[in-house]
Amino acid sequence: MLHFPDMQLGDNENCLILGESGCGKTTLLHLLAGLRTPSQGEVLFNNTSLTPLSTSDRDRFRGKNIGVIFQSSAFIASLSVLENLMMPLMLSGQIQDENKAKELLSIVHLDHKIQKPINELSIGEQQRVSIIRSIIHGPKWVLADEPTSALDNKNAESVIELLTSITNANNASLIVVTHDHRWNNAISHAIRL
Amino acid sequence: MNIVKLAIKNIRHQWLDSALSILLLAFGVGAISMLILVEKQTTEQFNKNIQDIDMVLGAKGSPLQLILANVYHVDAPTGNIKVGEAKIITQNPTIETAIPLAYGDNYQQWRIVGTDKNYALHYSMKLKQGNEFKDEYEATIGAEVAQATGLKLGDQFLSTHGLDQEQNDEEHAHHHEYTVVGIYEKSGTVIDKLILTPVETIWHAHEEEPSENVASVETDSTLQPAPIPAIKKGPMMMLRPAHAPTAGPNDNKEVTAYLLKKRTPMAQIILPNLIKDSKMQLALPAIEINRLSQNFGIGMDTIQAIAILIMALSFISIFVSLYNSLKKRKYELALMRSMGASKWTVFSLIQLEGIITTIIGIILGGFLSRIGLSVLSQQLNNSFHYQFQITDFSIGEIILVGTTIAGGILACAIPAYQAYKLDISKTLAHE
Repeated sequence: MLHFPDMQLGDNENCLILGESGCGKTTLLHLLAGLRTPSQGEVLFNNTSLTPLSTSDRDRFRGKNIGVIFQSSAFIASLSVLENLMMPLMLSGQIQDENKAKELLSIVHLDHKIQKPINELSIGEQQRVSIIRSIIHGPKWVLADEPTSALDNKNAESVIELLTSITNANNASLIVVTHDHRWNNAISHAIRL
Repeated sequence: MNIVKLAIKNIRHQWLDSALSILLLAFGVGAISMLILVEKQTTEQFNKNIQDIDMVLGAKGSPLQLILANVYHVDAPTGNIKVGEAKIITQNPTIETAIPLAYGDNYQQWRIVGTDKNYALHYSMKLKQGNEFKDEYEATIGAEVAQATGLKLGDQFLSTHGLDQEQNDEEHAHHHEYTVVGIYEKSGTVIDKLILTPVETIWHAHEEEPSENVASVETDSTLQPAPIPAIKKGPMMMLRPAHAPTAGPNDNKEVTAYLLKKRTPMAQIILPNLIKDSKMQLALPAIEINRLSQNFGIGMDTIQAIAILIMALSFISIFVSLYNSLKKRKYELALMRSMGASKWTVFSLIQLEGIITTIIGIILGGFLSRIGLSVLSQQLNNSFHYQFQITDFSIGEIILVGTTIAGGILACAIPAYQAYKLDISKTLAHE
């Protein structure tokens, strides 16, 4: 049984959730994303509580309002970069705007690989695409699970810089769950588990 | 991007897994649809050619052979009968029409049949060019004969003795010249494959060279019409011929068979009795063909059972490949859920992949059945001048398609349900 303290986050405010391995960081992130429900307590987004929602309503809410970045960047293997970027738009029932994908990809200098099969990209490139994917459907909250723990200092720095700037530019709150202290300078609001 | 596109991309991505399922399904569906078409078309052909032929009168022998030889023209005739002897049947009041058929010759392996105008009339043949034959050595030819031999109106050709010999066989050449006076329109009946000429032509052609297996003129002048057997008093009396058949100049001539159309159902009961002591027999096409298709049916059932087995295997293959791919793709599906896909979306995705695989199998199976049919048709055409229509389509095939899709849906029901029940949090945390 895991217990988490009460925590609150204002609009457009970023937050760091720090903790060592095995203390339930990923579980907390899944609770926040509505991928699982707590046995006690609740998760509220602007007065919408995720807990009493039906599974499909929770799916819908998540699809519209939340973007998730996982530890290992995962994609649908049969699709191209562009098609993978269209998935959040398709699944949340939005217009599949290819120009938006191109625009966002050019920020991370990957617009020339837009038609490539996703598996032909390097790990670093894939991670950048997964960051774009978490923001493309205009979510209010972006949840990231250990986005930098596998990276060296130089790459970690650029991912931290990219994530904070891109969420800021798209008016989304960034919540990072990590044990990586390199984040401490980027996000001041930190909660320790 | 939509869910159908996604399903197609997924199938293409793991095409090797799908290929076995598709191939098995294609063979199963192909075999069954071919059986359906063969059965439908043979039945159609048989029924079209039987059209109101109630009985066939011919020489004793296998009744099935008599029917096959004289109604469908695919087997050797059982022998010949005398016109005079046959009069007890052909002039019987219970018989409406009796169409004589006399064989013996061919032109480039297309059978020449001596007959009268009733034969073409019976099949409601229409002339495309020229006229019906009138005099000896005039020939009206079927559409397929015209197409295959290139014979045109006014052309003359030499017949060859026998039913199957090649034209250049000197020994059997008659050197009787026929003239094409008419060409029939294609009718889908057996006449398409025949060369029709007056029955007198055949008699005349064989006058000088009587032989065992052809209609010929016998020199035995003592032959008389068969006597009418005494029928005991009873209801049958009414159907006894009112008078003995009149003798005619052609009584000693021979024909291969008569196609009979009855006037009353009683004919079937009374007529066989009249000839039971003669060398003739009456065969009922409906009964013989029924018997034939029953024997045919056993073979068909076996092939059908094998085909159903192959289809069952293909459904198992679809199940196994989806089940296996699901293990690999669990994370992908959980990812879709994290992006807002509902349980039903991932359920339908797996279901769609199964259905699309099934549909590809069905389409391929349809092609396979047509290829098989055209090969079979080619072979039948070489030996019997019979063909199958490969562009044909049967109601049975619609049922086959429906059943197959239902089987495909059932085969992926379990994998799809597993996708539906997927614990996304556990899967994403790699637990």
